[in-house]
Amino acid sequence: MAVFNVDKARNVVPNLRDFVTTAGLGELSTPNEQNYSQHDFHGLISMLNQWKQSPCLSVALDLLNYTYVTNADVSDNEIQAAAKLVLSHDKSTDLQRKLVRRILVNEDTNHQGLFERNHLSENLNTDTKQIFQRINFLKKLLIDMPSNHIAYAEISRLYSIIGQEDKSLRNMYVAFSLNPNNRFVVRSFIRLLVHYHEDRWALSQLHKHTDNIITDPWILSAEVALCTMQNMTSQYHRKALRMINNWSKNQFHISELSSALATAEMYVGDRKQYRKLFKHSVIEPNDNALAQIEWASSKDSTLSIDLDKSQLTLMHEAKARDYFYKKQWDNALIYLNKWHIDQPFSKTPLLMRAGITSSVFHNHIEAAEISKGGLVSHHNDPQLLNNIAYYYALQNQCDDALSYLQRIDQGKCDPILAMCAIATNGLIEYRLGHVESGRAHYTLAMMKAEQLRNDELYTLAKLNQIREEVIYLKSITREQMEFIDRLKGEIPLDAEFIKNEILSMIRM
Amino acid sequence: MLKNASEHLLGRTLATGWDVIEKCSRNENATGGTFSSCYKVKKNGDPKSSVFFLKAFDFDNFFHPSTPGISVMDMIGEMTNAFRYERDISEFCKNKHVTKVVLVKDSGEELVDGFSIPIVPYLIFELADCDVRHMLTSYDNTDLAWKFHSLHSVAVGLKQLHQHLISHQDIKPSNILVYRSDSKIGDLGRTQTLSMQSPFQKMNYAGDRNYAPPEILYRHYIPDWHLRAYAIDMYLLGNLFVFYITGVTMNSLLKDALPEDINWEHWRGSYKDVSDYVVNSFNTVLTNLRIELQNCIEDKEILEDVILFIKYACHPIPELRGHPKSTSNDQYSFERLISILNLLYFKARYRM
Repeated sequence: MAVFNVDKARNVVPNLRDFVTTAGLGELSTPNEQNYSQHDFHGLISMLNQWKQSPCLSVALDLLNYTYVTNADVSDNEIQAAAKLVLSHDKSTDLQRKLVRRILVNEDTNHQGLFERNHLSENLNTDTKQIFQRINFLKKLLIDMPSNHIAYAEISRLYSIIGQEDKSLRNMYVAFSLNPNNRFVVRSFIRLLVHYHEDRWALSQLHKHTDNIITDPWILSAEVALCTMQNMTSQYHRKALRMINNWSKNQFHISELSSALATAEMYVGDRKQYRKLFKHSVIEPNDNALAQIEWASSKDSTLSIDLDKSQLTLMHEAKARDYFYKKQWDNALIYLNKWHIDQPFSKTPLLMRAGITSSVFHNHIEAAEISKGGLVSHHNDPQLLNNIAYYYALQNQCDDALSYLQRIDQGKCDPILAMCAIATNGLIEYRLGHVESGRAHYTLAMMKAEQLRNDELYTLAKLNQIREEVIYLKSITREQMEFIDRLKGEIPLDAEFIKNEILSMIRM
Repeated sequence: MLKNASEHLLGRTLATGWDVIEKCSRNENATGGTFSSCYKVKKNGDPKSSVFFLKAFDFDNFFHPSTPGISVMDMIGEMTNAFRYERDISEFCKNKHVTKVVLVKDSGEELVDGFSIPIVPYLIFELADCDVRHMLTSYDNTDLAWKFHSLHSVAVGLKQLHQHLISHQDIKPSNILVYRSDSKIGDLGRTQTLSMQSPFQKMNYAGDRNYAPPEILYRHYIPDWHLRAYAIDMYLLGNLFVFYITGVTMNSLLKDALPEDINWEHWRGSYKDVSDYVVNSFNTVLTNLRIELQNCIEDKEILEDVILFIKYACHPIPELRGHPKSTSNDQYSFERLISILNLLYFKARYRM
């Protein structure tokens, strides 16, 4: 059976994005804002006079550089004339023409920069060629400036997308060693190490090398989240609460911290405190805080918020979760796809997308294809392999299913996954017509679920088996029907889908 | 009474013996303040005399200040100081044998009757052929040797100024004047020095902010005068270098590479907090420039030296600017950069 654990524990670990996007979201800006007056660029009249007297290429370029650097009004006729001259001059270069276009479409957010920034396309996860080109470019940066820690962090992120764990970790550690106090580097470092299940080590490195944990709310929130992941209370917990209570600056800077503390309080069950903190976290939230409250609202419905009121442009995870919980599947799929593009190394959006595609739309082959996309960044991931095998088996492609199931390294499976793989094997046996073997596998899987004291998994395995029995016997037993009838109230979504599938089969 | 005595010097023979032979349009051929008129002059009675350039200060304009709230007396004081300072700093440079800077040939005050303010102070300079922008006619870099030669002269000029503890602060294309095959730095009006009271002494940066280094654009103040002023001059040379080679300034390239939220228009924090990101963007610019310039500078050795020069001169962190082999006492010495430019000139001349 497939698992896509949408409700698994979620912590406010920072997102791992590229430098330009992260800066664009305001996560690198400073809380210590000062009131500066704008620069007084007073030379425009003089520049315009010079251009009028000598309308040649270099004077035009001088004027246009001035216009760009100072954000001067481009609607001025003389500036337009200078731009026209550069665009039409037979001796102007591509770079100069790009500058002019950049000035003329300054308001357009989809502009091309003066140089190709190598922005990654939407088919990122499969386009490893483009990722390698980008890595290559970043390595060239390091030839000029070998201590550019931001470039190392970017390289690491790209390696993580294509599943090169060693290189990814090595580059991120170099970035962290070069500057363990840079917010972008520290947050990327933590996210990556959590991704590779090295959160304990991440926390120890953070405590050892980072000096500004207590002064930078963005780093403090990551520290609190790391501690929560390890069932620990952060040593800065009280200071963090004090920081939130005394915060008089832009609330955006403490949204993640509030959310991280709220999550920690939620796990220990302090309802009053976590509600207060979650409320605080969405005064001016970032996308991570929004995604967290969406997740938390699935545990405590009083926390649900209206995402349509948010001004954020990038909140794909929050939107995807919101539509998922509202069972608006088409919209959920759109935002899951966007979430995957935003966080290509993350498995969760793929698992959820494949789950919806298979359970709601019964398109098992596409579900298998979506899951296969995840193997680029998660080579031989047992969960993905199990799910692919499950989807192929549902489509009766048992050879494909078996080939994926056999790729699972049992040594890398946790007990839950091992149990799921046994159940998937049972499904394949059923579909191959080996009913007895199928029953034996499902019985074993359910026994393991009981040993794990995991009712949800037991229910899921049982329902899967009932479905196979109904398909095989074309009827349902009283005991099976009673089991289904007993499933009332809150049951996992995937179990609900299978239950509905069985009921519709019986009706037919 | 008539106004603007400075506009009415044409045809006169000045008390200092100069014939005013032609009126130039504003800004032609020279730099300078907004409140000045420009003429071509010749030495009276000498048919073989070269033509010189005269900048007449327009005092009358100060009685019609466009900036409300500024007292007329203050503005007159400012102008008097500006005139006196430019004359004196030029005289000082002349005495120190500074050769790569356009110096005041003569100065004086002309009495022009019939005007509300009859006194016209003026400065006379050697007449340049043009400013450097008129020589930068192509950016395919077929004239690379000439460009390096011109930049070499500018670097030598800056070195000469620094030797006498003067920081120019306003190196930009319109301030580089061309005399036949030679280039010289013009406009000493915005210089700063510790040996003389400059009108802009109290300013963090006196020059055109369009060309200013990132630390100035991010409002970072360096208390040490030497560090601040010399680092600025070095960046300005680098910025000029980039403009010579690409027609785009380093500030434009940096602004393009910086994410909008952290560029100097939006950043409201300290320079220290943003400097890592500025350095990363600078790094991106350097690498992109190398790729871009491969099309027009085929010689790899020259290209690498060009990139290195930009890296040394334009580094966004003032403390890291300058040639890495310069000693800590002399971090902003132009010596090694002049050598690079000299070498580049010869390589470009004989290889390309």
